[in-house]
Formats: sequence, C-alpha cells, structure tokens
Amino acid sequence: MSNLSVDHLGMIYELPNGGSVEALKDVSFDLESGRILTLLGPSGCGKTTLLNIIAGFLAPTSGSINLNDAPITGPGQDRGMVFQQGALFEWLNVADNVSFGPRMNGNEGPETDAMVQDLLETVGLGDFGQKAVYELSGGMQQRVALARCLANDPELILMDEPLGALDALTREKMQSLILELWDRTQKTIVLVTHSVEEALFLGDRLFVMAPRPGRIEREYELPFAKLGLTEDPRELKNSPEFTEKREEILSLIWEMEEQIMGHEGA
Amino acid sequence: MAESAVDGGNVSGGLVDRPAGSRAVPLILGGEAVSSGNRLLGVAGVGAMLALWVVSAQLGIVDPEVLPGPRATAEDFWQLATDGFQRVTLWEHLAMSLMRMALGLGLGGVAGVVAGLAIGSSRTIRSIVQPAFGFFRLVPVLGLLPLIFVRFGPGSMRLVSLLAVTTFFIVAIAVRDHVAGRGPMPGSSADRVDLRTVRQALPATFLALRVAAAVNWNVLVAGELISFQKGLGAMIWTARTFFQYGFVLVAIFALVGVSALVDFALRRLGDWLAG
Amino acid sequence: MLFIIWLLSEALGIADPTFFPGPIETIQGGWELATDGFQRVTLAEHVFASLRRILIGFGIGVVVGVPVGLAMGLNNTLRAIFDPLIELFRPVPPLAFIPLLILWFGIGETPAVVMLFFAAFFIMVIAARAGVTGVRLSKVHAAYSLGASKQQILRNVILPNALPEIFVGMRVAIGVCWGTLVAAELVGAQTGLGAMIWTARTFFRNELVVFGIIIIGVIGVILDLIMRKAEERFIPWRGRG
Ligand SMILES: Nc1ncnc2c1ncn2[C@@H]1O[C@H](COP(=O)(O)OP(=O)(O)OP(=O)(O)O)[C@@H](O)[C@H]1O
Ligand SMILES: [Mg+2]
Repeated sequence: MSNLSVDHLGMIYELPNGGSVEALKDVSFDLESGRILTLLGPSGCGKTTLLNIIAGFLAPTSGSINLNDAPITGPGQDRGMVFQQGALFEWLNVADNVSFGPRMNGNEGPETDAMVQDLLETVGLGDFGQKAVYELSGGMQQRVALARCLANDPELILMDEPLGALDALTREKMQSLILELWDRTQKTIVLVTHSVEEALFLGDRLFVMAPRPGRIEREYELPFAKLGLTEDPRELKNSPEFTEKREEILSLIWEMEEQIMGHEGA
Repeated sequence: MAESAVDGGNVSGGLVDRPAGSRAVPLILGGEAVSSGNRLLGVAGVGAMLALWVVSAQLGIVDPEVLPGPRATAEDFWQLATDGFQRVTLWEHLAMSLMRMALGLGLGGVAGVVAGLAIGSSRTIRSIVQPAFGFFRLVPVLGLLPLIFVRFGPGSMRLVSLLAVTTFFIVAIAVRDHVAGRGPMPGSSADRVDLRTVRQALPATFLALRVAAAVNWNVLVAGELISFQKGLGAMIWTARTFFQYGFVLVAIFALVGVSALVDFALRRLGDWLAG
Repeated sequence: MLFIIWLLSEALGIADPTFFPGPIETIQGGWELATDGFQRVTLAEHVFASLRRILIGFGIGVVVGVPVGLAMGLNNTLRAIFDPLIELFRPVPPLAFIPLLILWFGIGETPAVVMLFFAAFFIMVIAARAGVTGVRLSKVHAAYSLGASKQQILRNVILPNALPEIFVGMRVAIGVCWGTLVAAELVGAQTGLGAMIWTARTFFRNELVVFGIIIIGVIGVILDLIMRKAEERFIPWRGRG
C-alpha cells in the first residue's frame, strides 16, 4: 500500500543576489494509494517545486516527506516522472527509450522486449518501436514518456504539465489515456496542470495552490475522474456539476491573480 | 526558431542551421560566465599560472632564451610603450590594428545589415543571392588571405576589405535570419522595411558583429603578419626576425586585452542601442 | 555568375592581367602545377602536406580537448579553475603563437601542428563543455527516476547528449584550422598550399596565387561538407531534442 505523506513541508530558495524565495510554506497532506491528485495554481506557486521534492530531486528546507513510512531522500524508481516535453532521449529509438529503466537495472533480453512491446501497445504505439523519437508528434512523444515511466513499474507517477504542449484535440485523447492507465494499473498519480478543466477531469483529488508563499489554498474531492472512465468526457465536462466547479475554481484563481497584480502595483 | 552563430572558420560565422534553443552564446565567443561563487577559484587558476611563470623565471628553471620571464617582458613592454621597436611604439601598432578592425566591422556591418534586410524581406532578392551565400558560407576566410597579395585596389585597404567581407557575410546572414524568422507582420506588406525593423534587428546584428570580430582577429593578425609593417601581427613577425620574443609575449597580452575590449564594447553598444 | 564576369573581363581585356589574372591563365597555371609542378613540387604534394598537418593537429586537438571539456562540464571546481584560463587565451589568434612555437620546436612540421592542436583544442574544450552543461535537467532527472546510477547517466545521457555540440565544435575547429594552417604556411613552410602561394608570389606568378586560393577554398568547402555528412550520419537527432 503506497501512501504519500507530506508534513509541514517548506522550501526556501536562496537566490545568488542574497535574497530568497519561499516557494512552499507549511504544506501538509496525505495521499492514499491509487488516488489521482491534480495540482492547480497560478504560475510560481510552487507546483513544480513540490513535485521535484516528491521525486527526490530537491531536498526541502523544512518539514518531512514519506512514502510508505520511509523518508524520501533522493530520486528512486518507485517514483516515475513524466515531463512536459524534451525529456525523451532523442538518440534512442522509441523502444530503447521505453526499455531504458529496465536496461539500467541490468534487465535486458526477450522478456524486457516483450514487456516493452506490451507497453507500447497499451499507449497505442505498437508499430512505432523502431521509430526515432523525433519522428513522432508531440502527443506520441508523451505516450512514449508514459510508457517509459511505466516500464519501471513505479508506485507513484509524477507528471509536470504532461499535456501542456499539446493541441486541444490531442490533449483530450491523452486525458482519456491517462485515466485509462490509472484505472488499469491502479497507480497513484500526482499531476500538475494549468488547465482548470483538466485538473477537474483528471483529479479525484484536487489542490488549488496559491503563491507567495506557495501553499495549498483549497482542496477538493471530485467524482469526475471515476465517471470519466465510463462516461463520455465531452458530456461530463458540460454537465452542470462540472461547470459549476469550474466556475468556482476559476473565480478563486482570478482572485489570486488580482491579489498578485495588486501586490505588484503597490 | 532562434538560430545563433557557431562557426568560426567560415565566412558565415555559421549563423545558419543551429538547432533551436541550444545556446544563446555562439561557440566562437566562448563559454558563459562562471558563477560568482567560484570567481575565487578562477582567480586562483590564473594566479597559479602567473606564479608558475614568475617562479620558473626567478629560479632559472626556464631558459630566458626559450621563454622570457615576467621582468624581461615588463621591460620589453616599457620599451615598446615609450620608445617603441624599430621606431614604432606599441600604441601605434595597436591603433593600426584597431583601426583596421573598426573599419572592417563598420563597413562590412553596414553593408551586411542592408543586404540582410533586403534578402530577408524580399523573396526575389533572396532567390537570386541565396545560392552564392550558401557557397561562400563554407569557404574558410583565412584561405582567402593570399588575395591581399593580388593587386585589386589600394594595398592598405586590401586587408580591411577582407575583414569587411567576413563581417558582411556574418552580419547579413544574421539579419536575414532575424527578418525571416520574424515572419510577415500582420497587416503590412512583407516587403516593407522601416526603422523599427532595423531597430529590432540590432541585437542580432551586434551578436553577429561580436562573432565577426572574433573571426576577424584571426584574419587580421594573419594578414598583418604576412604583409605589413604596422599592426600587432606585423609587430609579432618583426619581433621574431629580431629574436625579440619578449615583444611577442607583449603582443599576445595586448591581443588578449584588445579583443576582450572590443567584444565588451560591442556588447555594451548593442545593449545601449537596443535600449 | 562571378565566374562569367571574371571570364568576360579577361576576354575583353578589361582587367590588367599583370595585376589580376584571368580564368584561362589561371587554369593554365593550375594545369602546369598539377602536372609538372612549380619549383619541382606538384600540386598533389602541396595538398598532401597541408592535409597531413591539419589531420594530425586537428586530430590530437579533438582527442585531448573533448575529454578536458567533458571534465570541465561535469566538475564545477575544474570549470571554475580552468574557465578563466581558457577564456583568457581563447581569443588570441593561434598564429600569434607561431614565433614562440618555432622557437620551441624548431623549424619543421611541429610548430604548425602544435599551433593547429591549440586552435582545435580550445574550440573542442568549449564545445564539449557546452554539450555537457547544456543537457536538459529533465533528461537527467528522468534517468535518475528510471533507476540509473551516476555512472550510467554519464554514459547513457550526458555523453550522447553532448555529441551534437562536439560535432559542431569539430566542424568549426576544422574550418579554423584549415584557414590558420594556410596562413602559417605562408610564412614558415617549404611545402603546403600556403607555401606554394608564397613562393608563387615572390616569382610574380599571380595566376598560381589565384589558383591556390581557389584550391584552398574548395578543400575548405569539402572539409566542411565531410563534417556535415558525418553529422547527418552519426547524429541524425541533432537539434531535434
Ligand atoms: N532553482 C530555483 N532557484 C530559485 N528560485 C526558484 C527555483 N525554482 C523555482 N524558484 C521559484 O520558486 C517559486 C515556485 O516555482 P515553481 O517552479 O515551483 O512554480 P510552478 O508553480 O511550477 O510555476 P509554473 O506554473 O510557472 O511552472 C517561483 O517563484 C520560482 O521563481
Ligand atoms: Mg512548473
């Protein structure tokens, strides 16, 4: 049972000019296994910072963070990461990208090959194994990134604006794919997005974060991710419940933006 | 797609076919600045090098015939700065080199901007001159150096024209890419070039000028070395024929200083003009 | 088109042939050089001498410069120490060192080769270093999350990621080396294209000077094209990360 527990987490960046930025302040939450959590908030509110701390790329300046009661002290393959773009290895073909994790662990051979093929089929790229990654469209590249991350069978999948660089149509398809993978693999997922709609649709939990200092402003428990597995996404996104939540969150973020502007004006 | 200059050896300075987003500073201009926290180590490195020079000269480890020591070099510098060598002072050499460099950059730069704007904004002009550009881009400038032996035009201007040609290509290609990359402006004909366009092209122009200067120091010194009486390159070669190796070292230090100075000036000037 | 103007100017006798030779004269000179040679040395021998120097100097410069650059890219301390030194000497035209090199290594092949070595060395150090420091952090992070060790990341991420930059550096370096070599041969060599031009000039054989320049240009273009082809062949992913 994976359980992510974040306790009074704080992160202060020291700037070279002597100043400092409080990117996270007193962030606490527990995330049970199998949940999908989306993080939403204005630019600079510490979403990436939080994700990087969970991934182990950054050490927090205060507070603690545990996965299954063990403190996170560095990157590990129990936590997979999907980036917005440009994190694929363009010198490797699609299949070699996906098999990167297993190969680094000394797992090479027909078994790995079969697993890679399986994963590629899961993300809809069964025939693309031998293609160069730069020959693929942005959406396909993100599918490869998903497959590469799944190849190591992590407990927790972290995604930083994974669909941010895609066009609207591809984006919708990929949203459904993420839900499908979530359902099939029962993984815990933390996903950062700038799109309110995406955060509502994909998150069965949703944190709206606020900047300066970065913190969790409001939390939601949402039904849409589960519903999205069976219902038509378009209809779901047009349902009164969905649009009502969307308006609520949008006005919340608007308020924040106005405060930021006010600050800057002063 | 932000393309920037890389090549040093070629006429273009390689302002084309750079992958996007890879580096803001062209290869020929060297690396990015070291972060301030590490300055001390850098100073230590340079200091160690100087110390090695001083100590090895003092202890007589290195034969002064092989490498003049700091004291001898300083004395040579003093002589060059005051009396000069062969009746020409360091400052005259320096001024001559700087003048050639400035003329080359200035003439080539202005012509380059005009050509770049024309090529970048007009399809017709582009289709006519593109092939020639494509070829000359690949020719190593220094290979054209012997042209200064062939009489075309007044002798003292030959080297300058070579510098100007180098500059011209580097700047023209940079400006062309800038104009072409900007795309047609909505609501205005693509063929229109106004003052604002020129202004917007300034950063690209000055980056190109810095690349051109870096390439041109090579050309300048080589050119002066083989065929002139004045200029740092000429000074190096005269010093050699008289076995005055201290003067060679002074010239090398002068080149370090003056090339850094020109680069700095171009950068500042570019920033200032671009607002 | 330039060629046609050139040809016309000769045919119509516009340009004074003692100053600027026409194409027919140049081709005749080139033919003589290629078959009988000039001062008993043929074109092929000159070309070979030049190419040999550049390949040795450039080759050693790459072999030494790349590891140094990689080390500087990977290690902050090394970078902090050597960056200023490199930055200090990098802008100095390699040719400025030639008197000292001749003093140290004597007249012969060595000074030119050492000079080319330095010319290539600085460029390769900067290129390899930039290749390493230019790696996207997300790639390194992704590799860590996939269970790669530091060593594995170095081998499987940072090195391949630096290759395009290294190849670009090689292309720049070979261009700089070629031009510098020709200039060096002008002043201090018995063979090589530069030396040939120098001798031709002292005998007022302008058509050989022009012919030499053309050959130098053509070889320069060929070297560049070879490097470009090598890039396409070995790093097809360049610039498409
Ligand atoms: N390495 C760093 N050094 C200094 N400050 C940083 C660093 N990384 C982030 N910050 C600062 O910390 C704050 C939070 O940054 P972070 O990248 O986590 O925000 P974000 O929510 O991911 O923003 P975005 O939506 O733009 O991606 C910002 O003010 C940012 O400027
Ligand atoms: Mg972010």
